Amino acid sequence: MSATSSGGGGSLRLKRTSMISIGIVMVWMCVGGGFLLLRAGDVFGWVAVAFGLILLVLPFTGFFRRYWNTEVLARGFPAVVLIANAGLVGLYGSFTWAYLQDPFLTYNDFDALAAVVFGVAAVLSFLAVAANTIALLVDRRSA
Amino acid sequence: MSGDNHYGYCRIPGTQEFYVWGECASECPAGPYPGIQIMPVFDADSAIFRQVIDGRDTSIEERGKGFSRGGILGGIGVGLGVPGVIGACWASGSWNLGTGCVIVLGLLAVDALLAGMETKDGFDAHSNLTRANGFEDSAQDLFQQLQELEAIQSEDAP
Repeated sequence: MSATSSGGGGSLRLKRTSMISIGIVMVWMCVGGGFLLLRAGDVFGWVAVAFGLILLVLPFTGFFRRYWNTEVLARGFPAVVLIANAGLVGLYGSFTWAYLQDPFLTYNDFDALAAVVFGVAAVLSFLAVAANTIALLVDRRSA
Repeated sequence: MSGDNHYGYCRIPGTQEFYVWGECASECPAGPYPGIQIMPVFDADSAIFRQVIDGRDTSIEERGKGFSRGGILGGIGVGLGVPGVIGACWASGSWNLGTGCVIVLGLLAVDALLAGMETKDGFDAHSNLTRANGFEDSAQDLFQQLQELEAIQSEDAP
């Protein structure tokens, strides 16, 4: 498949969808995961939360806007996006599965909160794969 | 105080005794917390139970830390790795293994390694908690033994 385009379709939709979806997943994990780490007394949580906040500001920067409006010429771009997103589904899904298998899950707030953070991250990652697949199909049709 | 609202312990101030609590395997004596029995036990009698509760607390924390760090690093790897690889290695529309690309791939490899190590730590802690005879099983079994000990001591008491 060629992702090259000279306007209209190309890989612009997929690029935007992939950026938005991974942005949402990253902000969720950085803020939610960072909060979990801070609750466990881990200072890395501050780094994660700060990174999440930087990601929220990023779309308003000129650098990002210039990148946002350029189409991707790479042929392997859709495959990279979908494989990477599928990897996140596997990662967060396995964490959620581990928590759900724990009969002591609801015994303390930390475990319950962690299960929610990873569960939502897994759902968001899955939705990202779905959204990116749809964007890829629309891009192909309009190319 | 250690543990949570189902299994835990705390020292009774000014004594060598601890309050321990846990789920009742069968009928619970009347108490303020349904399904949970709280009883005072001597230091020596509760030593192993307290060790298990401490280990359980540590493993819960380690699991949360490992998964959180692994999840954050994994998300960053994907989120920055995809545009990074596209920009540095595929910018011209074909594969280009230049210096920038090698640096990006190197950073991605480090990120993946760190994410993998943290995730492994999280799953190790999870296994310590949930495997057969792990901390969760042991907390239940040992509390049951303390209940039996307490019942024997109550019968022996005048």
